[in-house]
Amino acid sequence: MTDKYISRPEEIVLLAVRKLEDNAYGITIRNFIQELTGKYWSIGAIYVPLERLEKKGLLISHNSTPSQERGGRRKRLFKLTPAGVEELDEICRINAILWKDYPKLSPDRNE
Amino acid sequence: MTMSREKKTRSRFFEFFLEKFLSEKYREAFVGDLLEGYEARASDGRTSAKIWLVFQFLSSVLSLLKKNIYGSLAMFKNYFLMAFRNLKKHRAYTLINIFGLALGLSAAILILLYLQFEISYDRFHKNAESIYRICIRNLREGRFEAESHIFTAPIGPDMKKDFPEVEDFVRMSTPRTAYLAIDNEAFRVDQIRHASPGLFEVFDFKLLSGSPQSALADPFSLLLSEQTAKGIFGHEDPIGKTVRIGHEDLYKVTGVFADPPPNSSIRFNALISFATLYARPIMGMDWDGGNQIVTYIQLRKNASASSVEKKFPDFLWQNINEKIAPYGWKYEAYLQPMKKVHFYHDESSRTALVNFYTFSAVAVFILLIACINFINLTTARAARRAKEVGIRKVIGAHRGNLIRQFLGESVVMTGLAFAVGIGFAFILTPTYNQLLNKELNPAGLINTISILGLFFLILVVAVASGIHPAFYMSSFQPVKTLKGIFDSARSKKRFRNALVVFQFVISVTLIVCTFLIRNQLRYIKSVELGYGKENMVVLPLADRNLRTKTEEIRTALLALPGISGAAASSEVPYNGFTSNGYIPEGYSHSIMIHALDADEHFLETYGIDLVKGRSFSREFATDKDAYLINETLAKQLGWDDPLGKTIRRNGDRMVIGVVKDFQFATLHNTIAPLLITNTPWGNEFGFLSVKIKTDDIPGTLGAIEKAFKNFSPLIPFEYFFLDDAFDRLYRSEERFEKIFQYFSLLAVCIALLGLFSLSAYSAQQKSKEIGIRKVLGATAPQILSLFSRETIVLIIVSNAIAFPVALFVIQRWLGNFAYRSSISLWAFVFAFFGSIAAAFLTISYQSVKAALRKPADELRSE
Repeated sequence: MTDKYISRPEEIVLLAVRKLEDNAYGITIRNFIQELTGKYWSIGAIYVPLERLEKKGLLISHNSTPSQERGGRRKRLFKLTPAGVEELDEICRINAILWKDYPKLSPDRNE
Repeated sequence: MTMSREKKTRSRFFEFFLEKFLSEKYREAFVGDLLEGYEARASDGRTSAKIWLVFQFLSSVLSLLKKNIYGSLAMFKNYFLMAFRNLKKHRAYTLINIFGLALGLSAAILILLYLQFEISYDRFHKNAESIYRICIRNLREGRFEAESHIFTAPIGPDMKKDFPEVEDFVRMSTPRTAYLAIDNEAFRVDQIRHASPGLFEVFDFKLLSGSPQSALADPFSLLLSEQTAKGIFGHEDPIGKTVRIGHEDLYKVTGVFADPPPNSSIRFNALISFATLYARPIMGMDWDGGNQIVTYIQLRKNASASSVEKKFPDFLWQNINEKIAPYGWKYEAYLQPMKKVHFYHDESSRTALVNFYTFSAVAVFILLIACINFINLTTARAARRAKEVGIRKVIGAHRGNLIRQFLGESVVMTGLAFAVGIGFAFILTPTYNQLLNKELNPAGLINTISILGLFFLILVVAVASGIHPAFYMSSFQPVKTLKGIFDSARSKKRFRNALVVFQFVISVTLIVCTFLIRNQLRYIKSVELGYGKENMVVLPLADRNLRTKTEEIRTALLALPGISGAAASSEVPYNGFTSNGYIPEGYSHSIMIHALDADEHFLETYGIDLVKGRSFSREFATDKDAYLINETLAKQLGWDDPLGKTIRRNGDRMVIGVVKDFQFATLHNTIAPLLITNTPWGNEFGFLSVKIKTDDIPGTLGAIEKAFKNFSPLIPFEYFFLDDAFDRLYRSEERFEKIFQYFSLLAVCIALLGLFSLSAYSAQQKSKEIGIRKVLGATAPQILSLFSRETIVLIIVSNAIAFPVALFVIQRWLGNFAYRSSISLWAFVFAFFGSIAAAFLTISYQSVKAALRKPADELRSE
């Protein structure tokens, strides 16, 4: 767990890496997030939070073995570090508390 | 699957960009991701996949870019905000600064417009690079005598024969004015020239109808400009029509050409085939025939002018120099590049060149003055921003950041000033065109080079005006500035003063020059010409009827009231006479002498005195074959007693009198040798000069017209006053003077504007000092003098520096005139007191305001 909170894009990317498990790399993460949010994401825009998360020690990355696909270029596969898992758990915990009474809040707005 | 070459280069291209924005460990993977996405979509269609790829790449770069420069972007935003707030806070200062710079820039743009037009002269010819005009120098006993571009007729064809470098040549006669008659109407057309067939091939003049090869081939072919053709034939097709010119010669119209563009130094409204000159020789067409032809030659590609010039000495020796060498005469020839012709158009007066340099200098100076304002105002204002600089430094701004900030600010200001300045320039163009008598279009400046130039200029001005404040302010020590110890450093003030002096040196120089130029032009008009030009009505004898009956017309006119004299002559003085080759007694080669054909009443009518001998008279039948010469010619020939000596042209003629020198050409030249004959060519004079002595000028003119119409009902009655024609000669100089005057005024205004805001600044700075002085009993006038003393000293210093500069400049300019006015001391006196008074008035607004302020207001804050 880091001292600071992570940003919303970072949170989404972190979660996406977790969900994609062993297949988390640039384009899969991008496609996953784009489908999830319905907004346009460029691949470059994915690498910005990825880099930050890795710097913060929440992610770790390694190169795959090169294959015939992708013009012979290796993938950069991302994986959560224990600190990353802890960070997600923490976010989940806080969010769960914060969001607990959410449905009750919204009808009040109409009054 | 192997990568195609194309794909490889493309991904390399990606990588180059990514190197800048993405850390190394992700780079390969990122490209791989892109390719994977591309391959996944390629099955749907290559084009859409490609679009996806490009779009992905660009948007990726954008997001990566944003991440990388986010920090500095925020800083930039802050700079802009600060700059904007600063400008808004000091509204008056901003306005003056921008307005001053805009004014300076618009002046520079207007001048640039003129300069661009001047440079564009003759560049529209595709072959301009390889066309040259043949120019000659005339030497006597090895000493330079004269320079000209008018030379003998055969040089063109002979050069083509002897010089392998010469591709083609064009021969043209010097322009003349004549009446073109069809049926029973005649039209005055000026700038009529003979031209050889090469004209439309060597040059890029446009022939609208007729064949470029044959239109100028046959003798008595006539080509008209579009405008002239329209004026004579209306909407009829002029081709094949017959036109009568001058001596009853009939010409066939074989072509119509587009009027030469305004930036052509070769001007003509009608062209006559050069072959006509051979069919009806009015002059010698061989090497001895005298100098009357302008020749342009076109060199072959990759032939050099210098290799041609090297052969000139031999070539000229064989053809002409050998014959004239025994008498000490010699011609030298050189090739003048076509692009230079405009600036060296006429050897005697290089007005275009002088104007070009003058205006370039003025543009630079005005821009300099405006820039100096900017620098001075910004440095002066520095104190007010010292705290901002201090705080920025404490927070952690590097010097580089501050420099960037201040330079950025000056770029914004300059950009703004440019926009305003361009606006001004567009608004002022019509007035400017009227002054210049040109049709310049600022839209003509919209091309790649000028736009690049403009950006460059913005950058230069911004850096020049921003660099000092940027480096100066960024050197402030934060501790001092924040403590409020900001000494307005003496050395900086000295720097500012030096700039003010520089501005006023320029301004005072311009003022002095303006005065002296005006003086000179006024002087020229008052120069004793040696003949009476007042009340002289000149009537061109436009057609044969008039020319054969000159004597009768003269008698008829003299019978009218209000006419005191009349005389016929081939030309009238004011714009120079043609020159011919003559062989004086004791010489065996011809020398060039200006010649006038005049009747026996000419000297009397024009009030020209005789020094020796007698004038032409009807009582001596031999006078028809006699000459009068002027004093200059007598002196040049070394004849103490010219009477009875002979000069040969078509047979020996005797000199019967010497006339007092009178100036028959422009005052750029000294009086040239002149010879007067009594017999015009073909026995016909060209002009009738009528001296009127009446208060009822319109009535007299009406009477003259009526008398005239009796003799030639077809020709439109035309006349001009000799003094008007004379004044017109100096119109271009007057225009120059006027524009120079405006620009000088502008320069002075901008300088004063700067002084005004500087004084506002120093009034503010000294407000406490003034307050204390007032409390201690100083009176308002004392404070005023305290305030003005320093500025006045600066202005006096500027004057002291400016005077010798102005003297030097104006002497160079006066060098263009053979008649120079003495340099008036008044110009200097006026400039001196004028500049001091103007400066005093400018600063007094601020100083009076400061002197009248209540001391309590100034002092209570501490």
